[in-house]
Amino acid sequence: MTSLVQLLFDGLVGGAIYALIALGITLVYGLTKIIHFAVGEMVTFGAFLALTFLGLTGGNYVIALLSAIVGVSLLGLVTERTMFRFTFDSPLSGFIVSLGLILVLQGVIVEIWTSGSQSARPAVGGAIDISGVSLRYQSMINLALAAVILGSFYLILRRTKFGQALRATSDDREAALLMGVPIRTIAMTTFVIASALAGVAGWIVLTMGTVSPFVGTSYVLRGFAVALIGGLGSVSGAVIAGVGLGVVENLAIGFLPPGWTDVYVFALVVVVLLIRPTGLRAGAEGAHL
Amino acid sequence: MSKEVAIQAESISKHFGGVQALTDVSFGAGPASIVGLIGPNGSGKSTLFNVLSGFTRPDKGRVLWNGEDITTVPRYRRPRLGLVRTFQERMAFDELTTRENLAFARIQHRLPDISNSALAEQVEYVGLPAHVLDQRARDLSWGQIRLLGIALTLAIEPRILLLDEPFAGLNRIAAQDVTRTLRRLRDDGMGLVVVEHEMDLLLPLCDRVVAFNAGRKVAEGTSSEILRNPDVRAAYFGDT
Amino acid sequence: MSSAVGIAGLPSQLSSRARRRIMAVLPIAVVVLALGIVPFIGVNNRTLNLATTAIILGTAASGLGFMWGQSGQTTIAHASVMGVGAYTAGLVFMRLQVGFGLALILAIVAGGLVSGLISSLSVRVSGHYFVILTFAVAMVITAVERRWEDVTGGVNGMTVLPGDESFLGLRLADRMQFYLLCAIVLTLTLIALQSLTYARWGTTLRGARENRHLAWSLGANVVSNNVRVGVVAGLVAGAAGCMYVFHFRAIEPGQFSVNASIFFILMVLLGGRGYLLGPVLGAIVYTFLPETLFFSPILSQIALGAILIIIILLLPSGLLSLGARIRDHRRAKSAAQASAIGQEGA
Repeated sequence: MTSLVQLLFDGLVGGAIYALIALGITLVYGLTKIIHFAVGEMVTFGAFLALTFLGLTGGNYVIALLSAIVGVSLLGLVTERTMFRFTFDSPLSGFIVSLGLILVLQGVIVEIWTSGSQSARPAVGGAIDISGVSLRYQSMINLALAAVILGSFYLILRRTKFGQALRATSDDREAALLMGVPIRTIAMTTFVIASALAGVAGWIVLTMGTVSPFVGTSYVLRGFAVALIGGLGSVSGAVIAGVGLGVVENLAIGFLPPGWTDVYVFALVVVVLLIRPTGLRAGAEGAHL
Repeated sequence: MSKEVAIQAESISKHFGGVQALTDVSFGAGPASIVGLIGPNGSGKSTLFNVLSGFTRPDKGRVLWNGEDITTVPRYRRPRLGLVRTFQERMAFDELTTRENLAFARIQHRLPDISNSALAEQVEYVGLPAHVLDQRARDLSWGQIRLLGIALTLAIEPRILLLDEPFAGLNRIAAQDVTRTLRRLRDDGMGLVVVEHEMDLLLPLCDRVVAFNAGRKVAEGTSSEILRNPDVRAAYFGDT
Repeated sequence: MSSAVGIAGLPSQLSSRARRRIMAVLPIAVVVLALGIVPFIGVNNRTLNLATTAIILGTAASGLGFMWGQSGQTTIAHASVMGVGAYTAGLVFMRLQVGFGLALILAIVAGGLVSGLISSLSVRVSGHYFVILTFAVAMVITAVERRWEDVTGGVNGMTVLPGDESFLGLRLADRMQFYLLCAIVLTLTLIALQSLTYARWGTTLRGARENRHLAWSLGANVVSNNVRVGVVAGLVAGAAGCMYVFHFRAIEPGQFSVNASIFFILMVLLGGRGYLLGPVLGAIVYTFLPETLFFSPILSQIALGAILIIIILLLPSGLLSLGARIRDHRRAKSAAQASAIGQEGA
């Protein structure tokens, strides 16, 4: 049985991935109330893009990361401009668009790449061993990357005008509109940001092991669970909840009978959604009552 | 017409995430009277309204119905007791016809279907013409929707009716229709509690007025007493 | 010589009630007619199979359409519920050797139970969070189907051999007779759903969907109503699941995944959420379109996903709403013309 510390460390990395995805989800949802389920497929898309550029550049992981970020951001921009912007006043329609996108993106990924799993070597191989706990270098790089990105977002939201406008529009769209905030542009930017974050997450997933075109839904589900626990628009919430979920997930895998991993993971999400820890408010409609 | 019934709120306190909406507020209303709740935005009158109707649970205090504690009675059970409320934004079901709207209310209380003439009587009682029965609620005028909203509540025979800003957005003629209907209800023995911003429409109507500010009651009395009260004037009109 | 809009002012209660009756029965008559014709026109085996598939999916989709259209509950777990019905029927038929009739009943009950359970969770979470919850539940169910190899056959799936079994005098192994059986199930389902829609319960559901708070304040227990609707949708999905497993004779978890649930949403939206036959029409398009265009499964998925997006953006009320739209458009045009003429004359 893997040691507790090992499980915790691995859980951190998983948590970082969830936090990145959750941040994008929560930004979009907080602003537009759209449940963007296709973010998971964007993570997959990012992973496969990175894989391709890895092959094209003969193993340049930095370019692969950039390609994932740029590529998925572009995808996010295109989907926002051609589809999501028309659902601004009807989040339910936006949600359904995202369902359609799941089908389309998944299909496109399989068409372009393959329906099987793919893998790549980690960017930095090897690990250091501290009394039986193997800390992979790649994991540490990924954690640092995630920390930098999440930290930057925290600062952007708190310190910049853009961050202010974002928070204002999430709180009260009408008021923000009256104050001259360009809410449509901000919405578009949010989608692009969420996509960029998904791209980073995709690259991280690739460096940690194999990717298949069908993992999108499981990632987005966990991303949503984290976003809901962490509270809308809260970077710190996403981090704490993400790490929390990643760790608990790993512990469950470590201590429960093997072979049913995905059942535990998804069941955990169900439980989490039902318990509704602080950060959530009852119901998503009728805020005045 | 109905036996004595009263609603009582005792020492209600409620806070929402850092804002103290109500502090130790007590309030009562009985049959055959119209009580108005006034106060600026955030004064707590709407919160009290929600506590009375069961849409908000108070942190402290109780709600009594004829002396019985109903603080924990869920909102969908209160109509059966005879305590019904209306909603400001949507008083009726837009996509349903007037007929279906009234049917909805009856169905919830296991009341049988009634004849067309009885239905026509119900709508005429509140001041609506009979031909709106087959029109969808969204095709009615603002004022008519308000009256339909009141008719909906009547279908389940309330003893105390809580009205949420019934005059909002109405022109003078529509407001007169609503005023007439409310007076009629009061004369027939119903107790009404009205939350309203349009003071010039509300004050002439009320038998008693309760004024709120910053989560507390600042004054209570007849309409003229309230108008002369300096605390009310300060809160509402900025007079000193 | 009444105008197209009707005789204004007169209550004409009799004709409006008669009109309601006709509107309630008409779609069912259309379906019975369309279904009944098939044995008499020459169809090859392939088309017959597709028609049967369309009917089965249409049955399940109608359950979702009822749930969504009448109570406004969106769920991404509908295919999972159908899967529960399918696996239940397959299991009891093959392992426990029960007859088809009992397998059907058990599948229906299983579907109703699971769906009711899911809907009951809406007492803890509602609105957007509930949708996400159904997503999670769907993934749990699919994962369990994959892992519980002893019971479901795992990723390799389950095979069902109808053998000589018949039900109501129809041999399950015979394609045409099985088609008729499915047609009967669909018809009964539509009759049941239509009756519920026009019953007093239908009014309660539509009001609660329109305005939850008003419904609560008028004494409706919105949550328990939603649970009942969920049960109904589950019963229907369970029945469809049973027919599904006897039709395809081999099932595996991927057929009841989140993707499959999204396809059901597509069917309901494509045909029209507010119409009894909307989901059936959607199921027909879903089944036959890839065939007629000779699309591979992956290409079909992409195309159907694109159709879903197009429909929700451009025609959110579905194909069956086109008639009403054209009528409204014509009415607006003639009203504009009439007022123009009136102005000229004045």
